[in-house]
Amino acid sequence: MLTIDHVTKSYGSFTALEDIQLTLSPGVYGLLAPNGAGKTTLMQMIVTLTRPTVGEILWDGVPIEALGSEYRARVGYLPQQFGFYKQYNPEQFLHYIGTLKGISKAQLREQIPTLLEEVALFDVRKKKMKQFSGGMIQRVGIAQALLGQPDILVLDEPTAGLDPKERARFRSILTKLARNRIVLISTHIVSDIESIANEIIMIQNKRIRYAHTVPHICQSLQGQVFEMFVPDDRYLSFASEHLIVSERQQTGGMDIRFITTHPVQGAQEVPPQLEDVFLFEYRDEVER
Amino acid sequence: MEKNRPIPYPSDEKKEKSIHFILNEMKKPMSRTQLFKQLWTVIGWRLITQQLIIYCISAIALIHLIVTNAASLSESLNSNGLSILVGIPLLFASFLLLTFWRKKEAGTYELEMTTRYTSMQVMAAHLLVLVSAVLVIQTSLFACSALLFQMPSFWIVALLMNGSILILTFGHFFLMVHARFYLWRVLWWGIWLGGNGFMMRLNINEMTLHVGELIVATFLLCALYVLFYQEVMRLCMRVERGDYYAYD
Repeated sequence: MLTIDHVTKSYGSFTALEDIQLTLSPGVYGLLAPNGAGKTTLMQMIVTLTRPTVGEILWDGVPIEALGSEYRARVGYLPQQFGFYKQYNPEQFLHYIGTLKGISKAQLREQIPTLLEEVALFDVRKKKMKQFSGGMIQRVGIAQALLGQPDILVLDEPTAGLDPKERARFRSILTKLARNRIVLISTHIVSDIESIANEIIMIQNKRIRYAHTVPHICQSLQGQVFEMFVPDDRYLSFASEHLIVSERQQTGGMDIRFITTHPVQGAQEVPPQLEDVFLFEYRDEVER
Repeated sequence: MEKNRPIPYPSDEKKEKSIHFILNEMKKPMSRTQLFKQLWTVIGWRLITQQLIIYCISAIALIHLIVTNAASLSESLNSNGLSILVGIPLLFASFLLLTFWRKKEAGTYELEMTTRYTSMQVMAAHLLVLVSAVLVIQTSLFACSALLFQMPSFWIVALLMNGSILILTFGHFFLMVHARFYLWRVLWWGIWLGGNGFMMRLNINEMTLHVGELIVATFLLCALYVLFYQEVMRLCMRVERGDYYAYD
């Protein structure tokens, strides 16, 4: 179990995160917040790249600082900017990272082909990575993070730059591989984690805003999300009065999904979704 | 005036957990030598190919130096030998910089600092082995020249030592920059520059060394090596213990 115990991170006078308290047990956690909210900082503290200014992070009740390299051996990490050696093929790269992880040659020989199969890269295992697409590189990144079967998997914006097909593939890979370990995925794309995360963690104003299941978070907007058809001539005035979360073009107007606390004539109440909550909670950041 | 804030004492549960961890789970801390041995056993040979080119070129240059200068070691170095003596440390420094640049370019630094053995530890282990090899060759060269030929001239010893110290200092400098310990960087470069300045002031090419002076020179090198080893392993121990953060 990973415990983030009243952690604050400051850089000089700037506070990036304040009094973060979380307990993570095996399962998939989606860390959802707009860019610049402190997702990467939190992840960097979990993977020991930077230390909390106040508070501590504990693994099974023991501060990770005391565990040192033993803790690092339990962590698989995919950084936001995943670096790789262009001249290496995926097999060589995984061997290299596996060696740094202290995995024996025999274990690597066993694990690498299996992992490459799982991320659908086995057929190109001998191909230089400089010839790979963004999606393929990201899959190498996921494979390297999974080397050594880590207890904690930290993936920082793993779907950034991927096309919808690759993102769907990524979700299916992750669902398969996320058993019996803590998986923490940061993203600002709601659809990437809505269906696979057991819990969603939302950061707002440097603090945890929500750390709950999707249905629980969505309840916060129960009775406030509506859909209706708005004719073109009324659209501008309507948009200025309500928080629109999505819109679909129709003949002579638009089908609009919006959030409001006051009843609107002709609008039909719909069940709130995570994206509605995200857009509602971060409306200031989104509008900026 | 700001009020004194109360000292945040740990809860009883926290204290119990810490005691349990110390008594039952905490491993006996490794010594520096044990850590180095572990680093080398687990990763040393497996990643050596990455720096193979440094070893190969250094070895070729050294062999060439010995072959071409062995007979005249007691007098003075020919220009070819001199350029090699100056060239080896520079070559070494260039390859280290190249390795570092390659990591920066590839953007793998962040990833390699979160693994069980970090890239800094790997680099330290390789540096220590390389520096040890240089020291062994250096001492052997001194011993061979003293036994087989006449005593080497002060100038040659000075050059050889200069080269070795440059390797030591640059190696350490490189790690310290990697670790952002600026004080050490200044200190090591200070040693090297000071040593060079001292030799330039002496400017005695014809001076012949006595056995005692040769022993002192070797001893000085060994002492520097021990200091180098201690400092490099201290950094490795900090990384091992979890007392070092790449971005702090």
